[in-house]
Amino acid sequence: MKRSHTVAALLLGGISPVLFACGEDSPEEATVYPSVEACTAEMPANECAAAFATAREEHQKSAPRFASREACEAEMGDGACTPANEGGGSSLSNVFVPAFVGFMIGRSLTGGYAQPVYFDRQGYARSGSTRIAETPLPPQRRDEIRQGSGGVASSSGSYYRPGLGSTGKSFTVTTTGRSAGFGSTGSSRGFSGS
Amino acid sequence: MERIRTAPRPHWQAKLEEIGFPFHTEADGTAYWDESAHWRFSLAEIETLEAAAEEVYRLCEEAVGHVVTRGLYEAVGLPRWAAPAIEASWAERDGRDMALYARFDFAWDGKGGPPKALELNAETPTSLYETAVAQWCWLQDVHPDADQFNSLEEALVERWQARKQAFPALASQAEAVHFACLMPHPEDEATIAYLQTLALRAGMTTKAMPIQSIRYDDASGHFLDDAGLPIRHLMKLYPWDWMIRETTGRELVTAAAQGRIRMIEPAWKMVMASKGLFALLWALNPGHPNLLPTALDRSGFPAGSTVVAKPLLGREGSNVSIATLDAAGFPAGQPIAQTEGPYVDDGWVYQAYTPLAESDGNHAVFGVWMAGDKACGLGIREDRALITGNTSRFVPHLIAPE
Repeated sequence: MKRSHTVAALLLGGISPVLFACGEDSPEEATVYPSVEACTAEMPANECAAAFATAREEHQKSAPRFASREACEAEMGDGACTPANEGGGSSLSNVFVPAFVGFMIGRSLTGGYAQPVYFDRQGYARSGSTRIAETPLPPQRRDEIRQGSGGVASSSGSYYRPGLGSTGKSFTVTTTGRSAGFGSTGSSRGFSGS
Repeated sequence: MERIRTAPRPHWQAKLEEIGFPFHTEADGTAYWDESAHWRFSLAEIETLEAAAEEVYRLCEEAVGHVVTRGLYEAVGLPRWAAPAIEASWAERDGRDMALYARFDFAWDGKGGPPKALELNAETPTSLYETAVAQWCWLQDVHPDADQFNSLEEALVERWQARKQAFPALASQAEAVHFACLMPHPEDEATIAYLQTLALRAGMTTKAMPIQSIRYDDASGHFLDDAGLPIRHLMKLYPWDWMIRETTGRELVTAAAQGRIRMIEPAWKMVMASKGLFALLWALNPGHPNLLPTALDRSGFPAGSTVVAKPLLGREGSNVSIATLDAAGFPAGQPIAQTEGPYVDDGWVYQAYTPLAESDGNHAVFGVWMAGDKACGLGIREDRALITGNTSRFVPHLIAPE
């Protein structure tokens, strides 16, 4: 076969992914669901639950972590964060992670997969990637549990900067440098590729 | 191959809008997406196109190497001061400065002769979404049992995965890939969002932003995004040869040469994207069955030959003319066809004319997509005119069952 097994994909228009899939009768599609409930309207409940659990496990394993809700919301947006250990009740009880805005389920000839998808306040979109049918990889080491207010966590190489939670929910970007000036040629010519 | 007229799907506009493709109709009301017909190929024909594309791509890589090792930048319309970025990236072309994608345009009527490569859109190829998604969905709706030369999406996800392998910081999501284009620009933004989605599928952290919002920090030598964070990997849907001539173009050349920023496409793609490369291709491989006689001046063409003149760094079919030459290499009489446009400053390349596939007065150019050096898809553009431009219609295709 010379064509893709699936082309379902989400368009990242703003903060929430737009769902689409084509060929509704196809057994080989990937779909983004905002919730397990939305998923069970279309798929067996046990598959939805398994996919959600996989996506959430992946999300909680690799999501950026914050020492307080305020610190998390400062980066991810108001109301965008949840405790990292719902129901866990451990020493991590005050760690917060961004809620993922949806999860993507795919079924293809090479096996299913589920991915969490979420955005932060600065516009970064992330997804984990775990195939449902495969043994999970060992968790990656993450050293990114943040100090909440004016903290000192080492963040070199990370896109999650510490200390931004100290002023509460308003988030302002410090502009450094100068405009790079890119785009001027195309703006005057009406660029649309080749 | 055969062009087959068919009734469009009922509510085809709504179907395209549902899958995130609202750009099906031009501003003047004419169709851009045209499913009143499709092209049907045999598998053998598709394999001929696929092999031709991979062969010519290999020759293009050799020609880029020829330019880089000999410093022939003027011949492809590029300034010599861009060389540090081009040369550094070329040295890492199999790893950290790997290519993502490109699209050939082929002329071929399938009547016995080989496909002829007209050009390679190596930097900012258009019609990605139409090819990878819109025509895939059309096939799924209309001919679900047929095949299509279209593994483009899977191939691009694999390219993102390969890039992740090359950068541990991408694999750990400590670094992100930024996706930039002119904004507002709904079509380019949709293309960027699609590419971003494929990178997400490959497990990377991504961010889309207007290319106009990129900043440069003189103290650190880093380009910054609109949150003030350094851009380590930049996928830009915008030509290199424009960026290097804009305000911080020289800083970009230096940052790319030193690996402070990894560009997608890498700087060596500037060379591959120049139309002038095809003159070098012909000089290095004269008589190659998949190439057309091409030169930087007209004097080498015999009197009476029909020649296409294109800007070295042109795009969208602009400033192209087709004319028959006299003994001195000048156009004899009026051009057979020509288009207007802004690309008049950087020199010209001349290519022997060859007819496109034609049916019912429609001229079809076959766009063969490359992911790295692998051919992985076909998108067809049609026009009543001889010169394919940015409003030429996109027509889907299928591979006939054996």
